Amino acid sequence: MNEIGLVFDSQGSALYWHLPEGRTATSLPDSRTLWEILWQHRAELGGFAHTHPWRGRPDPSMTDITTFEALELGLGRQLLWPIVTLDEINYFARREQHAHETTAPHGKVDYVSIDPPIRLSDSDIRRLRELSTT
Amino acid sequence: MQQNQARLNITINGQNGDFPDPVAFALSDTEIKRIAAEAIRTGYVPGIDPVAADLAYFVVDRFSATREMPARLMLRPKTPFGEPQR
Repeated sequence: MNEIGLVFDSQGSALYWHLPEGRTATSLPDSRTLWEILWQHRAELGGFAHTHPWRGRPDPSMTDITTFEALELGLGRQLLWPIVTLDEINYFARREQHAHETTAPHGKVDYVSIDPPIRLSDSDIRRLRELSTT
Repeated sequence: MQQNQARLNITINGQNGDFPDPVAFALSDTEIKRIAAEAIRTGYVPGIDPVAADLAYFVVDRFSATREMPARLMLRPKTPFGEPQR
């Protein structure tokens, strides 16, 4: 079991399957190669999906959230962040925090599960799960 | 540029630019991020609009000098889902 990732475009179509050396069941290593792909495709980018290779509700970890935030700051645009477990998928997106709200774990922004404007195809979701378990 | 110096390249807000001055290659990531944050905030980096930015979750890629290129430090956001060095 290993986490993997998928870069997809603004229509939800796969651009790049991310299966780096050093991935584990709970982490993907930082990758200059992945950054160059994200930067190269920034104009057409829809988001980045990754797996949590177990069953149950997909929720982002603190590392997930700080990465969402950093990448959106670097790329200058908001993205969609699907998290896929072996039996569920949730799509996360940035929600701006109002001054009186204090629920964001990292402070300024929060990422919430949404009904997404685009979705990954069933075949890509299936492949994410297959590649995470082989 | 002296042997122990590097060109600092910064990417933020979909923009990319070089810090105008050479910096010491041996600076820590924390020090590089401090310099970059101040430069970005004050509009000192050509090609990058001024903005107050928290670079805590950015990382520094380090490339030694080659015959053709000076040493380079490249500041970018971490990717899914690595952690920056402190």
